[in-house]
Amino acid sequence: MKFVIQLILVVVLSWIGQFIGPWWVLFIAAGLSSMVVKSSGITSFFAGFFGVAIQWFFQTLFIDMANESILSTRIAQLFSLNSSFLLMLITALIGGFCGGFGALTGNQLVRIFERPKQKHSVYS
Amino acid sequence: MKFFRFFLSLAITIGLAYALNTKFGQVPPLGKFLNPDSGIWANAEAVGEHEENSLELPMVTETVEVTFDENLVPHIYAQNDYDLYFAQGYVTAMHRLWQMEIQTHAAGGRVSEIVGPIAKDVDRKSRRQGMVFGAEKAVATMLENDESRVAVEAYADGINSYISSLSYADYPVEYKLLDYEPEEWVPLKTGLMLKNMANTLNFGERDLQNTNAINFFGRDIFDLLYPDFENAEDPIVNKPGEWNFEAETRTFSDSLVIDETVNRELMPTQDPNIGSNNWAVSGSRTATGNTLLSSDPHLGLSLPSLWYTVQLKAPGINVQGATLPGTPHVIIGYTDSIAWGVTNAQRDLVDWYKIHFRDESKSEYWLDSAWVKTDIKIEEIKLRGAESFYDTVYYTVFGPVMYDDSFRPDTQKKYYALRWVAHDPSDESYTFYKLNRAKNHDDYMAALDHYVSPAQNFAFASASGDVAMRIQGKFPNKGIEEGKFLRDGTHSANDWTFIPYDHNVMYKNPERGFVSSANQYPADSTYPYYINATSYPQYRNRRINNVLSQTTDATVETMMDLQNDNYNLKAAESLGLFLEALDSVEMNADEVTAFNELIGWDFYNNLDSRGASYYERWWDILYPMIWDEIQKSELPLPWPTAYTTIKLIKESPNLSFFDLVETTARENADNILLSSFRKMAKEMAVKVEADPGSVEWANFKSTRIAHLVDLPAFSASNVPIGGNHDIVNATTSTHGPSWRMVVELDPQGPKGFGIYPGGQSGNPGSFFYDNFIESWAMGEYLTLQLSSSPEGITKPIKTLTIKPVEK
Repeated sequence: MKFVIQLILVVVLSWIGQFIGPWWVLFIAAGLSSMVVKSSGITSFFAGFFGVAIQWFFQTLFIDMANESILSTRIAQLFSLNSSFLLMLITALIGGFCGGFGALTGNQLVRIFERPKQKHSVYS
Repeated sequence: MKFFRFFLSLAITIGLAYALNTKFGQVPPLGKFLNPDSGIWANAEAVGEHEENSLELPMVTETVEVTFDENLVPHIYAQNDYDLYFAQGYVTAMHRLWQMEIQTHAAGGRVSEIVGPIAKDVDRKSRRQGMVFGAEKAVATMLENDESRVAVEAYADGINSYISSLSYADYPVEYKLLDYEPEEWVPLKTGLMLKNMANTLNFGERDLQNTNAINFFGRDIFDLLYPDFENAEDPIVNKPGEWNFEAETRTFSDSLVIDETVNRELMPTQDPNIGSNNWAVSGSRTATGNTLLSSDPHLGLSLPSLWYTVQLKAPGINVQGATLPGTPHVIIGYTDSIAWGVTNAQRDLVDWYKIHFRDESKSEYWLDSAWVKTDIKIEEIKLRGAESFYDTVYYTVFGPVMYDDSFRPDTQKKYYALRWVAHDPSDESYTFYKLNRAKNHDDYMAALDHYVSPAQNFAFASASGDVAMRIQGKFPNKGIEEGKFLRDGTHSANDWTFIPYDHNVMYKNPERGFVSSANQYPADSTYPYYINATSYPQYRNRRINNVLSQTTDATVETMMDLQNDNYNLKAAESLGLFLEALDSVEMNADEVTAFNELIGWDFYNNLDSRGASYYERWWDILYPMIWDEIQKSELPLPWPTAYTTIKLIKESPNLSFFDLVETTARENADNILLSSFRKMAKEMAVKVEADPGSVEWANFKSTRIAHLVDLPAFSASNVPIGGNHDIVNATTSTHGPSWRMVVELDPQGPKGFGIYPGGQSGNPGSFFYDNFIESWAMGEYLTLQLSSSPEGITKPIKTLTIKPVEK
């Protein structure tokens, strides 16, 4: 559940953040989500990863459909990729890693200020 | 432990962010480049969606309305000159910003700033050639004239206004790919763009190659291989005995030929595929009685295209046609009263002077029996990712010393200064300012009086029934063979004087009922000045004149057909001669096939012609085989023309040049024809075996429209189109009609048609990037619109309104 909530939060924050600021705002957006939703490091990473990856993938998908793949076909060819779809996947993957590490870093930052109440909380 | 984990995670994150925001070698910064908000995805324009836009900008004084038609051609309606050119700059930048900047960076020797040390040599060449030196003088002249100044400054303001509205997301794709930013536009860049055209069109010379050739071959062979006048009697202006003026006298103190061997790497000479056609037909030869004008300049085919179409309307001006992004005004176009088109005027407008420096410092040179100081210009060439390179260029009274001991040096420390007409002060923009407002022949003549370079053949037609041709440029008045070879740079009397403009080659309403030019020899032999150039094309002109002289009811359609005409006059005149060499020769199966393809060919280089492929391949093997002495020479030597080559095959088949250097046997023309034919037949058989369709002409030629930095993904390959060099449809694999225009000057309102191989948008992510290419290849045209109001534009797709800021 925490995963889903954080994932949605990442999608929203990343989308709004990049709308306003430069692309790397997504690191901060993902990091912030980990401070709002407290979960394990792994959960945070994947929520950040899939959050940004999904957001980037669908955004590029809509752009690409409207553009009838004119640009993506050319850029894919530029990078010797076989298809526009592959370019979209790579875009999503890059966003995913950024979101994942951003969220993980946020999560680790929260940990520093957390009082160790339950010893097994790390693995919950 | 917690801290360690946090810092490890933070370090990875920051490292990742840094890596994805940084360019590595050829790889763009991937995060910045691929993110969907501001990366390249932001350049993917939604097809069929067009936003209405309204801006308030402090510079404009009154509201400007821009309507884009279905071809994305802007129709600009302004209330005064400043607003008009401001809007032209603004919309051109909207569609072509990167192109304008890269072309002017190239002209100004600044490519290394973007791509790094790899372009250093190219940049040094531009600087040493004095491109900036010429552009600075041009801009100074432009700014002295109020009308030119307002246009060029308003144009710059418009571009800058657009640039300042951009964020990273809006940058053209190429900026993102190469990871840099647009810079401020200054009028100097417009000057550089004009010099760029001068370099493309008016830098054709081979004086140093000629110097080697005459010293190496001797006078007789030299005259045989490189005649000044090739004797194909069809000049641009033919009016023997009617040159009603005395030529200005000319004295100079060169000994014509200096005994010198030029043994250094020379700059490549002008591409012989650069040329153009234009013609204008009087009402006496047209179906409607209206005059017709056609113009198609042949240049390197590129994406984004060299041309951008606009309509400009303001009080005193209503013009439509092709513009050069980077310069205000319409360059080839029409108003409601007149139309004009240009072809390149071939002429030797470059001379080289041998400079005698006092010592190694090059601070003084010998001129008119005294030591004279050189002007020293230190050129800083900024290299991306490396320390700047400083190049010292020495300027003499003739011009910059381009070749010295640091640039393409030889072993003997020889110094050659460049004299080039594009270094002289000039304001061509004023010619176009006036042509864009011209109403009749007098206005056209007055406009051309301001035109210096690059020299062009200006065809003209008016709704009132006049047709005219004027070869305009600043032409040096040369004695016989003056400047054909390396010159003596120790006498200032050897510098140029000029032919007065009213002695330039021109005529109006000739009896034959049409004017035309296709870069051929400018005038009949009674023209009282000496004329020479590297070469004059001999085929397109004769084909055009032959067709026009048989036409009595010309229409827009027949003009279009002629622009797309694929008749190969060169083949028609030479193939029979070539085939004679194969008489009574035993052939293998491949050779019989080749022979039959050639015999059955109709001399048209159409899309699917097979004979055309066999002929052209044969020629392409034959020509360097004949001139193997030149190809294999260590010294730079000029190449004879196709016309002279064919003439020699016919008239001097035993000339020593037909003997191959690498064999011991003594070959003649027939032997060479046979061996080149056999080689061709074998090659073609291999191609047919692999794919029979590959020998159809369009596939065989494979026309390519290359992106400006030659990225295959942004280029168009294997464009299905016929034609070739020496054919009216002069589309080779790399060059061709970069703009085709046909105008009927109906007094009720002109009818204009035009097309170019590209699209209005320079954005590879736009539908409008290459949408004209297919139609262009098929010989189709867009209907150009010249409406006096935005409401009159049919099929508008969007508007842009630029209003002054309300006070």
